[in-house]
Amino acid sequence: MEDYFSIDDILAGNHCISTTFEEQGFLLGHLDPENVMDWNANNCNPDDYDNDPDLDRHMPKGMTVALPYWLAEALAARNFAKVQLPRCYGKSTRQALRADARSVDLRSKCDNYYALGVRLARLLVGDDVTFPGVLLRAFAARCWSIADMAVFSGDRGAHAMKGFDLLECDLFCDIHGIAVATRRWKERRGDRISGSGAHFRKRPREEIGSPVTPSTRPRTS
Amino acid sequence: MGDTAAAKSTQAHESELTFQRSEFFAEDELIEINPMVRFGVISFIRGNFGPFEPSITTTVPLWLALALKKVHRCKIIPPRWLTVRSVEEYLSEEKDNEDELQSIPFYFSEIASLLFHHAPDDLVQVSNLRRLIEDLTNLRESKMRKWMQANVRDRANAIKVNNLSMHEINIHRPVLTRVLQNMYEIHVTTDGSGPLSETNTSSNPASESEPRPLPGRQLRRVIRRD
Repeated sequence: MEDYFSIDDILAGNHCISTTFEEQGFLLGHLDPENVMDWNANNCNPDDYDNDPDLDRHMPKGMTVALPYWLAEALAARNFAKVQLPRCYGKSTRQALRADARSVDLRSKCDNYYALGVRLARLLVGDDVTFPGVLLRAFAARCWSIADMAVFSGDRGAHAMKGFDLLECDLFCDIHGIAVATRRWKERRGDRISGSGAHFRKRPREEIGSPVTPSTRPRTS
Repeated sequence: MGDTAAAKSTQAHESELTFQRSEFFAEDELIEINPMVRFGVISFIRGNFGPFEPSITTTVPLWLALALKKVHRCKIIPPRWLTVRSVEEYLSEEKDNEDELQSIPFYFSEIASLLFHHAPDDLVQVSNLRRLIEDLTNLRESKMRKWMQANVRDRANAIKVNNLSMHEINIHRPVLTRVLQNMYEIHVTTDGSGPLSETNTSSNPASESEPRPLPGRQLRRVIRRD
């Protein structure tokens, strides 16, 4: 399912998940050096340092670190670490989605809410049985209002995309493109040769084409 | 979800041309004309058309009819379904069956739009007709949208719709393909056994006390010691 070369998939796998190490991570202490030192200061006695002088360079068993998803998945799949669902998939968001999925602002929770959620659900198979259904029902509830907004929003498309995550933005752009093309075809604008918008006008021009292309889509950094 | 950037940009450009493209296909349909010139038989790849005699009704492809019309060499006879009475019939059929789309000519919108643009003087009651056709398209579109909202719920793997015209297929194609694909991806990849379980009831595998490694992958567990 994941495309090795797709930038969207790479970015989706980059979000940080808090993972708890279940085994000692040999020489993995560099992932979070200060917390490793604190942990060792609290939980180890000086004898351990005699047995293993490199103790600070290992990730101690039982410690929780925030790792990017791709690293967390690699560790969890080999049962080295346990992954916790981030707060954006937690109880309060699920309740909000169950109450009214369409008004929840998914982008503020996570840019790639569905993509990351799907990957986490695959990883946590068996742990949380209801989680995949939450994602599916949220999408099913939201997609039709997105489709309606895309068809009827005209020029103000970019503004309507506030609150959508990346998947929904793509859906919106596709449908919006077709809606604009329909209008152009109906009015036979395609046959006319019109000037480019490059020269300056006092009044803003009415829509030339689809103002909402994937490159003008608002992205939060 | 895993589209490459190149695929996305071509989609944006392609959507601009879909309607012109289906109009091009619609121009292959046959239509009757009243030529105003005398001409022999013309052979096309598709077959022979003609001979053309003034005021003798001949059947030609639509593109030829429009080309002749543009240089004022013929009079187009509108197809039987492009009259006020016939469109009113379509409209009342649609209103009677609220759950299904009724059968209309496949290139309805394209042919109607072309004739309105190039040969309005050959149509009867043009303004009435325009209004009725617009009512019909709006009614069908809202019916389709309502149907989609009601039926394409969580676990739809494939859907079948009857009697869509070419124009409507173009309009609804991005919606349906994208929505179904996203639902499929979310549904299938989060089911415990992956793409093998596509039944409508979600039966998650019995939960175990510890997380299992992903099935089907031989993973290394390497613990290196110096």
